[in-house]
Amino acid sequence: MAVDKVLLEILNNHFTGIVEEMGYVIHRASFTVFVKETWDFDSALITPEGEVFCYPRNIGVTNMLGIDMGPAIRCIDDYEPGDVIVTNDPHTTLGMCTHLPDIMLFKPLFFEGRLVCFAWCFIHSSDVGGLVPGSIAPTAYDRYQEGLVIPPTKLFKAGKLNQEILNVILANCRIPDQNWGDIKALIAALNICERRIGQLIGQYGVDPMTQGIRDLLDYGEQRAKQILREVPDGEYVFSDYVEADYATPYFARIKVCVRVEGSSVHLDFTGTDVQVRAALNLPTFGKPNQWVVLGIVNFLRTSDRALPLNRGILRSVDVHIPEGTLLNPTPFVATGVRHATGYRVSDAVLGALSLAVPERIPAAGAGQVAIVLYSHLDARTGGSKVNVLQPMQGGSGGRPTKDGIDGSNFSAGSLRNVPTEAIEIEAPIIVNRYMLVDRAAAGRYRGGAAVTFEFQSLTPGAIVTARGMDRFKLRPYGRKGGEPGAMGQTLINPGTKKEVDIGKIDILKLDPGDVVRITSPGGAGYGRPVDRPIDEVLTDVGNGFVTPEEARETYGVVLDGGTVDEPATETLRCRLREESNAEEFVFGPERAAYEDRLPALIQDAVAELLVEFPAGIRQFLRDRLYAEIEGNGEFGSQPHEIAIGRLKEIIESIMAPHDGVPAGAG
Amino acid sequence: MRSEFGIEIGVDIGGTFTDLVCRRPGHPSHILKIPTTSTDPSIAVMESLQILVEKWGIDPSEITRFVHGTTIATNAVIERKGAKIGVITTEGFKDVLEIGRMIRESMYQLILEPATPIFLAPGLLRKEVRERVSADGKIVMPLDEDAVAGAVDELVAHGVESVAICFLFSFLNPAHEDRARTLIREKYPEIMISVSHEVDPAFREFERTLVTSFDAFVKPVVDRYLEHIERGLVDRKVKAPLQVMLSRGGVSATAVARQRPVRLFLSGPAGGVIGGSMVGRMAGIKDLITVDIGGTSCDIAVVSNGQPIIRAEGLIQGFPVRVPMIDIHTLGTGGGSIAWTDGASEFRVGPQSAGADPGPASYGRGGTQATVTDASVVLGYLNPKNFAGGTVPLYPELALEAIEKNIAGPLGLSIDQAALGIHRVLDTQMAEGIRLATIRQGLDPRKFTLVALGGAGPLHVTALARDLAIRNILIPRHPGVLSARGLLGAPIEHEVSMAFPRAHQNVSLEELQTALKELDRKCSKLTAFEGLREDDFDIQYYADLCHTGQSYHLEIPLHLDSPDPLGQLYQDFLAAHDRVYGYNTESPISIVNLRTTHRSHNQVAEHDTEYQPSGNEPIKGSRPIRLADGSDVVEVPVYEREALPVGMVIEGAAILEQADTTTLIEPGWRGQVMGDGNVLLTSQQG
Repeated sequence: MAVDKVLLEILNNHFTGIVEEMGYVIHRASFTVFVKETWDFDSALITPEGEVFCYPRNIGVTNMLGIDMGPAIRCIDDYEPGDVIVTNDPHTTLGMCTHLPDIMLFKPLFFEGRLVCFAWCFIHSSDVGGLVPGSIAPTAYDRYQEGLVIPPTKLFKAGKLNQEILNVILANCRIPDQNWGDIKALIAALNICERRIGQLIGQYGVDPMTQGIRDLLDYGEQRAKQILREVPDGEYVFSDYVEADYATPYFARIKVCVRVEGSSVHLDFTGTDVQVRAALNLPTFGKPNQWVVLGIVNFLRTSDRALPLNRGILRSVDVHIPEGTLLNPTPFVATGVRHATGYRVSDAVLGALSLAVPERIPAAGAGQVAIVLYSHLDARTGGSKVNVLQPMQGGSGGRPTKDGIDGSNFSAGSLRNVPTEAIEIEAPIIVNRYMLVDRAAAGRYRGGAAVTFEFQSLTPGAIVTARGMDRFKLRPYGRKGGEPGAMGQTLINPGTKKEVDIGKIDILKLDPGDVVRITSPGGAGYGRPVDRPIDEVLTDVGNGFVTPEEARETYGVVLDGGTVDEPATETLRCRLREESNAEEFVFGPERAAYEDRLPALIQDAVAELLVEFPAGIRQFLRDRLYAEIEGNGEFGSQPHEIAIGRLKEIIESIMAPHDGVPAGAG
Repeated sequence: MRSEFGIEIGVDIGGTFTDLVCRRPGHPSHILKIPTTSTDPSIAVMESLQILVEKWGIDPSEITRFVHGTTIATNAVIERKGAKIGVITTEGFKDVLEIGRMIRESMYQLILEPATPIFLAPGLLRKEVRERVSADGKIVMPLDEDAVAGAVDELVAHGVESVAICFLFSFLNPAHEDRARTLIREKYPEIMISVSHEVDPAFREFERTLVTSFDAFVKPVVDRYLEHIERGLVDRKVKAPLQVMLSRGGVSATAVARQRPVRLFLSGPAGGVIGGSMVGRMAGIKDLITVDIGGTSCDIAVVSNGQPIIRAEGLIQGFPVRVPMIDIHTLGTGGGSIAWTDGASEFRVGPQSAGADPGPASYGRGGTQATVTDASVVLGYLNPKNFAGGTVPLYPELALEAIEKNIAGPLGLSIDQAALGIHRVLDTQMAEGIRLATIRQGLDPRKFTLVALGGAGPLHVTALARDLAIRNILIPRHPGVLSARGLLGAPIEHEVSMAFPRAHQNVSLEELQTALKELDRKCSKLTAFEGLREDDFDIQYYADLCHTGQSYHLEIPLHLDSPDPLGQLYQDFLAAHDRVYGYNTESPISIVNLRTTHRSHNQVAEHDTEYQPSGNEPIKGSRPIRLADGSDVVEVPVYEREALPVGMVIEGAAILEQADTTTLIEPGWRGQVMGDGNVLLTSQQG
């Protein structure tokens, strides 16, 4: 028997208040400064089965709504009041945790011996040990380099702290005091949640409340189904790349087929590239992980701003992700920078969806968040000092009704940037510029401009690292004839004889006086530039995003001094309109060249062939195959069966010499 | 109480109504509420002055104070009707205003609006010039004076009226900003200029640039507006100087307000909070939460130990404006909030509002959607014949129809159940909002007294208190015009601050005293405009402090007269940090800014305590209402608020009617009429 609608809405408001109060408590009480600035924490209420039934609106990272806690909950089989479970382990929680710095806590809440629900929260810890300070290195190639692993473990048993396990945890972190402070903040939030749920039960009764929880999830499910029902049935295929070229010359492709049938959505990632020996793997264990469904969640939230925030909205979404791939790697791979992959999954899913509902999805944005760190010797302590120089995002994509936003991107995290006046006080550098790039991808709705950040290092022994850089070799895709976005770039000593373009930063050593200019990718355009109204082109010329030459060549707007030559413009625009076609997706020459060398169908075939082999050697095999294919230009033009036969032969020759151990492996 | 107080006027201009309070020693206050004239708000001010003369025979020349609360600055931002401005920055940083800090209100929407106020100055109107001051305040690149001249030439050619100058590290070394201002002034004396090291001398260039640009944006508008009103007052023989309420809750001479108009953003709502704290003071209560519920919004503020809590940076239209202001937390819920059912047949209230036009269905102005006010009518809480003092007739049948058609019918509820549901959901939303507003300050709402303001506050307040486990409520004598009254209760206050980026442990007391003396000197220049003596002001110092490495700071009072001022500062910071952020560590702290406030101690006179009941019979009847517990309809007494004698005790359930609001006292509450006419409700349960 469903609870009445009024009580349901009252409960929903109270639950929302509770999870947001938890968020404020975590923000107030947590220790790590960078986390407090970036709000990298979250809170939620969870059913005994592991479904999120209430989630905050705008406190915390707000992208974990899709999380499935069931496997983590089932790791423990005897819950009692006062227990608090801690974990950061992707493996045993089957992807509730996706990288080790996310320390998650949950607490069972009881009423008269009956488990009512769980309170859950997490915080991104600034360090959990491992290879580098901060625990995340793009080039890490297994989980053990990324820090301490904590499978679900009772930190408190019946209200009593397990001091021994805590000692072990803290002994493995570089900043134990801050970690313990952060964990205490999480515990405070769990306890407040417990108290408030108790009050609600007192007020409304335990049965109406548990029924209300079920009804809320059903409600979310119904509302999402209504929205999805408006999406035309069909299969929509799209692919995009993560530039996982840290230990290999090749990118990692994400391929998705979005199948819409009535009110249900199936995401099939067959054809997605193999897992990589870099920290870009996203551990989903084949489940509809929060990162995999993020694009769908954002689409639903955009379609209904008042959407109830619970996992019921995802009940009609399921996934198929082949094992051993970038999105379903085997356990123990490195996953630290999985957010770079996560954003690309969103781009791929939204790209596919835009085939279904073209008027509702923007062109691709910069699609990355790169955290640029600067470390130098601290003369006082003799140790090294690390500062975040700038989290770099980039512009957003042009939208079906509006331009992209300059310098800022949606669905790319909540990071705040760092004021120049704060950086220069902290680090021995001088910032030369932090501004928008004066060019934006053209379109009826142009892309958001990229951001450029340039500084001079003033001290010996400085090192710059960056995690999460992407779209440095392949552009964000344009839509409906809109220009693709600009690629990111890192220049050392620009404008001098020593100028070098180094691409994505891994570890960069600087001499005193060296200048580094990092430019983010830019958002792509939407619609043909020639359809952009003349006055909007003029505004862009005024604001410096479009030069008069570009106005003429790209937009067909002929300027004579400050005014428009209307007849010439009319003629030119007519001609350009005839010449241009509003291609559904515009990827740019770089992706075309890559797929010339490695045709999409061949990539499909390789992905399919490699499913047979142990996941650990797939990247090696793929790289060998790709090298062969690139060396032999005929693959693309051969009939498919012949190409596949040839690929099989190559694999056999690689695998033959040592009884299943490939030649040259290891 | 000083005897020279003559007639004092407080005028608060809100979105819908202009409220006026007139105080005369020895007389009861006069109160006026007339519609706001939004095209030229000063018309309503002059009209109400005229009514004072005609109705009560006030002689304008006997007015000794005239205090004004205005939304002119906020409206300029909301309506994007400020001046056309140009921004001049350090080379390489012209986009600081546009890039912002990259924080977004709703991050996961695919269709977003930019989170920075680009409308202030698009790229075309942002110019950069070569110059540079380093992080230790040294000039590392001289100012390119030709570039300044060139930039301003272009800006003037584009028609700007006002210019913001924002150079990096100018708060450490203002030489370049000063020089640029001089150059512009010499060439274009008519251009108004806002200079970042004066508007907000503190680090973080985006926040400083934004507040300086807002200052430039509203300066010509505020200037013209205040001049206009002043001229009107002079024409009507008012000799008293015009004072305006500032966002921090103090009033100031217009000459000062016009120099720094960005301090006017909360001029309107601040009056309500000050009014609320006055009411608390009359009742001897120092810890209060004021809840001002109007038609479209609900403003929540916390008064702790008699002082409104101040925040260092406020949100204006979602933009972070770094000026100290009363911490007012606004929810988009009010009497006009619309109840609806979504496609999945679920019941929702807000955030859409019927606003003032068409307003609730029961207003009979064409609104067909069910609002909270309509529910109040259906439940019997509002008297259709005596709403807003009988000036707004209500049509209960329209309310019934709207609720039946939109809510009760689709959800299969009775009309009464639906109406109660609307109230209960709205009350839950507001209670959670109040909880978060106090929790963010590290305060426990249960220890506070709720003060109900606004037209709808007293109708919902017992329900809110019940949800929050709050046991005491104050209903001011005139909840609907408390903002205007607060204007007369606020001190004159001026404040000057400076960046002082130093490690606490390396600062000597002498350095601190020297810096503060310099601040006092600047502040005295401002107070000189007020026509008071130096010793009419109390001086209070503050330091903005943080743990070294932290990026947010807390304002802590600095007591130079204590035996160990720096030591006490450290301890006080730790205590405040523990309250607000939930922990403290004995780690080093840094000073960010120093501040002095000069506050008049002779203006805060409560000689407005005369309360004379009208002499009518207090109980004027009864009517059937439906209570929140969903029990049967009960007949409750209806009291005439003006007639309640001092000391009278009223047991809930009861209704108090008055022109500016209706109070619902639920069962379990007991009301007592205080000597000043305010009503104190106390919970009788548990």
